[in-house]
Amino acid sequence: MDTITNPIIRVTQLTKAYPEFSLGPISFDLPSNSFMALLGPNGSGKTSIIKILARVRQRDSGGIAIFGKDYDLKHPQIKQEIGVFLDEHHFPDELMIHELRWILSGIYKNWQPDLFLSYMYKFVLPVYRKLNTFTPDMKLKLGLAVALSHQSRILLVDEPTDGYSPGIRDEIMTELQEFAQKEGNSVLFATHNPANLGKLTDRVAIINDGQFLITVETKQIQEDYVLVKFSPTLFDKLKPLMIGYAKTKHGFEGITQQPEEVKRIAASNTVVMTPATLSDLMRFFVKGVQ
Amino acid sequence: MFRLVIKDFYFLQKKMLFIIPFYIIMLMFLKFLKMTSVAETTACLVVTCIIGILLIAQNSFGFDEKVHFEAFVCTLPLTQNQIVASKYLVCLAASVFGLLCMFVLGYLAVLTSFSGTTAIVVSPTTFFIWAFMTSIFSAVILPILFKKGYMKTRMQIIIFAIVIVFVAPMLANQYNTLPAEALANGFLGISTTLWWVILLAVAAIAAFVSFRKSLQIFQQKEL
Repeated sequence: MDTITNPIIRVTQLTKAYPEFSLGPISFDLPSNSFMALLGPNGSGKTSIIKILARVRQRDSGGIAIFGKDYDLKHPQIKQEIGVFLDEHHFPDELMIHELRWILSGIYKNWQPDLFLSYMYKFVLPVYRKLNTFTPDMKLKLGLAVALSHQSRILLVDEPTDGYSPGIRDEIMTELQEFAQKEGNSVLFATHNPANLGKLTDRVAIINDGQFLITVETKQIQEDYVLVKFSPTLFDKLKPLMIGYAKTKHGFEGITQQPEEVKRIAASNTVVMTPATLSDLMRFFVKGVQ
Repeated sequence: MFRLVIKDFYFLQKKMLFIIPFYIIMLMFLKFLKMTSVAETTACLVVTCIIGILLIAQNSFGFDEKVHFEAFVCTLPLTQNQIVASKYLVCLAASVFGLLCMFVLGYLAVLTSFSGTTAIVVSPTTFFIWAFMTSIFSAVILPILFKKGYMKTRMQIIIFAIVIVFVAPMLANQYNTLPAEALANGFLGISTTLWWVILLAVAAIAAFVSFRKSLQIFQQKEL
């Protein structure tokens, strides 16, 4: 487990078993003022983590502490500080926004009606129309507005922009970025697509088959990992240095944390080395040897 | 929690347009049956009004189910107790509304010569029938709704409601036809006051057991 002093969320040995899949045990910290991504293919367990933290699902075992306090079902007040933005909206379809706003204002003690209204104007959402007449884009924006309108300090986000146009994605990501930049706020963002993250994240945990494969600071990726393209003649020598590799049309490519050693072994042979990206990391950590 | 109750009433107010014609049909049905007994009429009105309203209240489960509202409500700063209790409160509030409708319809029944006295309509008997029927109906139905949802169980619920609507007036009729000597020392030898206490106790126990069961089901639910 990577340890951070006074994390905003601390997850310890979290497990959850389904008939066909098991999550964990997983431990991680979400620091204050951070934007952390859970990156992994569909079915890897990232949605389960978000939903357990959002209290939509129950954990089997393990500890969750938020702001240093046990995340206890009997004390839901801690959820006043948590905004949840899931992949699909679950608002009552028969309501209108002004009715939904009134209901939520009585549930969230820090509800900010002016801020919520400003989002309605910003996203051009009609306040006096039933939600069942809204397009998926409008519902997505409403979900974000609700998550951001009660002075939450933590935002749990699960694949919100998947399947939406790049325009919507950018709009949503801009709002998330603004939220994350405010003092004391943190975002935990689950996605299967590294392109969704842009340059927002500080930390990324790559997850597969219910386990964390690696947790890395985003700014360290390019310093610590190198994508190497090399000819088949070097394969046997370089293979032990690769975290993962794949055969390509012209030879092999893989990622390594030992670029100097690769250079030394390659000697006069040609190898092409470029800083690894998040996509490279996900590809080789998740799929390993291809 | 009370805002969740209000949320369901936003749904219900849109359904109320259907309930009024339903009651008018019920009145005509009573006329057609030529019910003249006060007890029979009262029982029929109470049960119909309450069950009708409760059926509509349970529609709110259907609305929630359609959009997986439970997944959203779990993210709100509410305890599971509060979430489950809100549904019980909706049913209670709806049945109070049913009781009020019954008073109105009861007077209408008097005006249209179904019975000769208005006293029976607004009486302790009416109140205890209301409390008993509401509790029993909700106590049976709500855990089923929490477990299986509205869409899968609506037919069973409607059938259960119809059975109650028909059985209650029949029982009232049977009671009414008992010879005077059989009732001299109270029904089955138990005084009316004690019957009220028993009915209320059964209703309260049923409501409590039902709530605990619903809570248990909700806690184990995978959303």
